[in-house]
Amino acid sequence: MREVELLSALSLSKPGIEIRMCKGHKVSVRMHGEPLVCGIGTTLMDAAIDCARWVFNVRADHPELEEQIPEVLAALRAYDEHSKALQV
Amino acid sequence: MTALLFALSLVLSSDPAPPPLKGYADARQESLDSGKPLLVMVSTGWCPACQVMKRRIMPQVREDGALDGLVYTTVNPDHEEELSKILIGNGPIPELILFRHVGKKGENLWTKDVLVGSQSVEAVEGLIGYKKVAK
Repeated sequence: MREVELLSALSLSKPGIEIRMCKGHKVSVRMHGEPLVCGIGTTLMDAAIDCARWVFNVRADHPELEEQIPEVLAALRAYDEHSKALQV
Repeated sequence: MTALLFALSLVLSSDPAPPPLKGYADARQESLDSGKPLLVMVSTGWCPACQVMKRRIMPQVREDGALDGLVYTTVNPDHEEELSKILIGNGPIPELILFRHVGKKGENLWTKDVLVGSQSVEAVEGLIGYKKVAK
């Protein structure tokens, strides 16, 4: 899965969640316009994944998010599989 | 005119700006020397959530008096990359880290509690263990 596809999948996975690339390998996440968190991974993908894990795991108790978690988790699992494949 | 300037100076002097923050190394040393907990906010200028914390949340936490019993400093990963990697790895920001001493005074033993992302005043004060007294 390419970075842009993942970012798009994450952004579309929840109305109100907005994931933007900004300044190099950095990512900014907003929910309903309110800034939530920023990722500073060594790659854009890492930054996006880092933010997504935080948004959808740490705040997984948020009822609005729960409905959308399966899609996001699928995207994260796909990324993990892709990472493992690269390591072999 | 003179009276107006005098009145203005009184207003300004009654609301002094908070003292400039110490750098991480100095803050850590002060924490070690005093035994006060060390609160570190890892944040950057380009991160909107960091700016919410810096401009909206932390000033209120300070105003409440919740920072009085500890040493507070900030670390910017753009300027202190190695230090920030030690503190948060490549983790998301903003990140508030509260270090508490568990050893003897001056001993380098700490516990670490963390809040990640944009947080409410209550959440930050909860991390610190500050209980607001109703006025």
